[in-house]
Amino acid sequence: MQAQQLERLNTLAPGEPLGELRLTPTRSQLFMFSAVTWNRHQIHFDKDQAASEGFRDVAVQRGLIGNFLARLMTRWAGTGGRLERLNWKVTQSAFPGEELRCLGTVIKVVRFRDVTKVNCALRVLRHNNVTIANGDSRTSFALGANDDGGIGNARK
Amino acid sequence: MIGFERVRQHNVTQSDIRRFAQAIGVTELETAPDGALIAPPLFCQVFIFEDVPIEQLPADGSPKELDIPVPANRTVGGKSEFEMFARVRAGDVITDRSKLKSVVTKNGKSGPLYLIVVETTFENQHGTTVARETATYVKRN
Repeated sequence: MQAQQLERLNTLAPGEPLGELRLTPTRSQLFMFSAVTWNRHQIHFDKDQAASEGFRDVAVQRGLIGNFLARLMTRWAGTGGRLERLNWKVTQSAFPGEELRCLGTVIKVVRFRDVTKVNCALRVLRHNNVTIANGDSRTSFALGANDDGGIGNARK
Repeated sequence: MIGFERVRQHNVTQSDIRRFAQAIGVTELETAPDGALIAPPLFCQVFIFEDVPIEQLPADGSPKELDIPVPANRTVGGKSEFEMFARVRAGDVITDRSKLKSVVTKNGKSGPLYLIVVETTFENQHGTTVARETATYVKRN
């Protein structure tokens, strides 16, 4: 782990924001995610079926929203961190073409001799600041790890 | 039905990881020293839904796991608890074990909600548990 990252970890405290990740899912992205996860639930790709169930458009998959939060976490953690746990609950549907804002805050930092564990509270907001999902996460930082230290995640 | 376990095995390819990354909008992937791609954290999502013929799915195409006898026909929202214990990389052989844990009825604003809890554990070819998901699906009318 680089000295700069170590210093950042040493000063990390509850309340620190994780920054913001803004994303606008598209119909193509929903299609790709349904295909790659073999999710054939029609509300994610058939607008008529979605309308018949009361949705105004095809709905963004819960799993994809989880990946948006995972991207927020891995961007914040950098290559020195490993996402160990991610919980999320979708409270309102999201739709393609709408910008989503993924946000988070550090809520707990536990320092052990060789590892620091950081818990965060997470939210996904629609453009009008309505929360569509919330959750929490735990990330570990192995203090002796190299940059690729066997603990990395996808970077973006 | 509760407690029934389904077991399946999957070979993880470089292409599987690239496609998943593209679907979630990730443009850079890490590689292991031997060049194998390392999967994004929630990659095991690709194994969760059953790959049965579409005729075996409910009429709305929702996952077969949710085709259980509750008096509701819409699947909405829900939550996931995803634990990641080790990285998945191309070349891994992942065995997933999925089990219906519970079906609980709750009263919602517009009628009863049926909360279906499914736990899936993912293990690699070395016998290491790499991830576990506890998913709660919500069915309602």
